Amino acid sequence: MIIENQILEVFRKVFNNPKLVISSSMVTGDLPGWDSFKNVEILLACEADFEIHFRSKEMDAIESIGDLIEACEAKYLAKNA
Amino acid sequence: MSLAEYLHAAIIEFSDYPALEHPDGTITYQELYQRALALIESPNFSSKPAHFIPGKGSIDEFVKVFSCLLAGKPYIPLNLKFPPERIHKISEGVSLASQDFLQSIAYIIFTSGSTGEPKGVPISSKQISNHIRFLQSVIPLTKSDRFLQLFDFSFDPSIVGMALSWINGATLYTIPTSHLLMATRYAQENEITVWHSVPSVVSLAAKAGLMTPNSLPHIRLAIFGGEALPYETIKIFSEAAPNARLLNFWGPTEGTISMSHFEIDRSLLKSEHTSDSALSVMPIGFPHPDVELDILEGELIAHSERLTCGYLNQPDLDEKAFFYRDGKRWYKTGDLATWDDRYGYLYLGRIDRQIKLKGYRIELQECESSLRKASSCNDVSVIAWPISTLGATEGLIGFIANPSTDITLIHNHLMQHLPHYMIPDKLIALEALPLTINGKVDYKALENIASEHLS
Repeated sequence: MIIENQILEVFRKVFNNPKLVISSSMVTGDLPGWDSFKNVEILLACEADFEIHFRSKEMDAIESIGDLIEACEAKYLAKNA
Repeated sequence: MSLAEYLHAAIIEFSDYPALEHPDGTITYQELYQRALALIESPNFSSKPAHFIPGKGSIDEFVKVFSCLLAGKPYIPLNLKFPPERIHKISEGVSLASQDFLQSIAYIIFTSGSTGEPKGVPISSKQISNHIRFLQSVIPLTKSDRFLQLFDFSFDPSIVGMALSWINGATLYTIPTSHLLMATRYAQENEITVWHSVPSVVSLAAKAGLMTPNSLPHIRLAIFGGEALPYETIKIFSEAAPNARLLNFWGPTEGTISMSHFEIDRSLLKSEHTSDSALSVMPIGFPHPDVELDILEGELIAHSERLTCGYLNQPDLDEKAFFYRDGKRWYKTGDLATWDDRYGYLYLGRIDRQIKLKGYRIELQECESSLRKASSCNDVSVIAWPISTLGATEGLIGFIANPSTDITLIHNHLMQHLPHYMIPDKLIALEALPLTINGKVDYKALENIASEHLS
């Protein structure tokens, strides 16, 4: 839940909208202005916030917000294990 | 040899090598061939005169394109972002084409038309074979190469990656379109040797801090095309990829992907900014051996056997775009250019971006060039806006892809370098310029942004 909330904050910051609501099924294009450039910002912001680094093969698996939450959780837990 | 014959030869020679590395898996040349063969032999394939590629970028779609190239069947790439109405118009247009005509065609790319109707550009098997044979001589690949495919099927440079990789035993490497701008990380980790993109991918990646010096040491060949390549963009890329040959290709879809190119000598990229105005945007260089280029009233015109036979079912558009001179058929490219003895043809922008404002003739590219210098930002755009109900331009709006830019400072700089009528009435700082599905600046989206900001 903590990671989910942090990712929500990342989206609110990237989209410059403090009231933004997201759901785990959302994919690129589901929010106004969500394009491949925003994806870079989202991924880099998550990497900075959780102090993790996504390998390209890990990025392949990230399609939805749910995938992103899962990937961040897995990386974060592995780092702090 | 035809492209199909080259592909057959490669299947035999490189059968155990990886042909496609895709997020969903890797397939060898042998597997690619077997899957293609199964498809080609299916009644559903042989009974159709042409095949649509929806544009998901799946392995199945790559197999389908390979099958079409192998079997000499035309394919029509679509894009998931095409609205249903556009797809309906495209399929309707293709259904009107005769089977005899389609037999000679390799692919039909649909581009946006100024009238709102998509324009179908058919390219024959012979034309694409001839072009790939030429490209092979300029940019030969080997079975050790790993070619990063960043163009989707609906953009004709995608064929270069597939054809050049698959006739040479190289590996075509694809990434999810949603992570297109993370291409540098994919290139680094997967030892990509051939980079092929529009310049915007580089400038946006650089802006996100992903294009650092020596970050792409494995790249030996970098091919750019699809839009103007600014000096600063290629300079950044050259430092990120210190071992790469750098090439700028130019050409309209109507001329079978590309018609000229310029190989960028690294000695031209020594300083941070160029003082040579001919290099502020990289030259488009010299015509390919089977191409003649000329300038007619500032506009670049092209003649070649590789010119499309004409737009699909739109003869009225043919009349506007093609003409005969000295017994040869020429295409009016709509690009403004000039000749330079050192660098060949120099790209000066689009002819259709020339506007008149209160009687003054203005090239929007010139405004953009000044705005680029004033803001120290590559990604800028100037549009004519608003347009009155009578169609007259009433002002200019400038966009700078840098949210922390100092608008007042830039405005003062422009006051010093441009006639007052060429200075945008309003400058808007954005995080990034909106791009079309092909990675080019989306002027329609900029008009909408202007409308939102200023209404």
